[in-house]
Amino acid sequence: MKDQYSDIKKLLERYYDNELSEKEKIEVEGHLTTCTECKEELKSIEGLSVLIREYGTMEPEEETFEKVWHGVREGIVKTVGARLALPYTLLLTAVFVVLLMLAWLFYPYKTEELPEAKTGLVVVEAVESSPKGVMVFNANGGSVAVIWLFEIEDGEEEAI
Amino acid sequence: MLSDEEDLIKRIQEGDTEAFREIVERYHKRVYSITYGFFQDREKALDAVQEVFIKTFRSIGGFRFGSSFYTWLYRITINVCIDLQRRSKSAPFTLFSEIQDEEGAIVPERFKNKDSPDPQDDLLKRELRAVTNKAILSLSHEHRAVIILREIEGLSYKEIARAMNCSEGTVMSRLHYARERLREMLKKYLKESEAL
Repeated sequence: MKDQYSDIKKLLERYYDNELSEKEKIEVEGHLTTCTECKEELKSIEGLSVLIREYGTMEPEEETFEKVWHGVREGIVKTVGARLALPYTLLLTAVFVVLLMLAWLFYPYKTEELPEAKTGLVVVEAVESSPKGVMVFNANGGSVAVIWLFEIEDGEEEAI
Repeated sequence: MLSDEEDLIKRIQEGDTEAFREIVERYHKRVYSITYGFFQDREKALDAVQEVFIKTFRSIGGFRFGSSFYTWLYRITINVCIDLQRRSKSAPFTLFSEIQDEEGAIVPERFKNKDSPDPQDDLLKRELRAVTNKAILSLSHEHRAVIILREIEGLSYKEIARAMNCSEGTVMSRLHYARERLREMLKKYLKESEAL
């Protein structure tokens, strides 16, 4: 009897929610004719349901639809606007990127010429020491060597 | 042959906003009853309804008629409610002590029942609304959603499972837990509500 009570008690919620098979339903209904505890349990489930439906809900006011639609329409306009603007935004971005690449390719760069390019001298060795520094250059493809002695005073170089 | 609703949805998918207005008109009360059940607050419920339909419009292009439209709409509704609740830091419920203070008249407008001629009944109804309010809000998002879809919307376990993207077993266990908790919190009032 005790086992049947606990088995049926487990089915009561599903019975109330109409989620039992026909066989289970008949079993529960048969049990309910004799068991006061299960009847009370079912009544309590039903009572809660009534309480939630009566006091946990609220009918929308008359003007709710207009209020809702007003807000929804604004949201839709933004969505549609963003959708319409998207291809143009993408197109503008693509044009900008292409222009940037073209500018990079064809910009007439003027770089400062290196000393080697100006004079044909190639630095072979450079030693900074006190009191004089030494710098050795090659010129004319290595056929001429230039040795430059210089003094360093207060950070300035002075050739001798 | 397309049903009336399918035809409306096809038209919305082609960009017809008038067809969407008809969908909003058709479903806003049902969506409102869920959002109100979830927030227990008119303003928040209304904001949520707007959000639900804006999201619906944005994603209706992806609706493939594989499931019923309202189950799909309920899923959006529950997701919006959970999302808004997470974003909002404070839970919007009124303390029971607030409505008991008659001299101070700190009774929110939404609890005033204008139809009730008997002041005693009126007071009890206000009290019942406030405690039910508080009890529902004490549940977690998932338990609240299940109890609202079942008790207020009357959805089957299968429909709830689809709307919440979970199994029927999960629906049953969440529903059982939510009911147990609510019955415990409201046991004092379950009998009083029968008397009204």
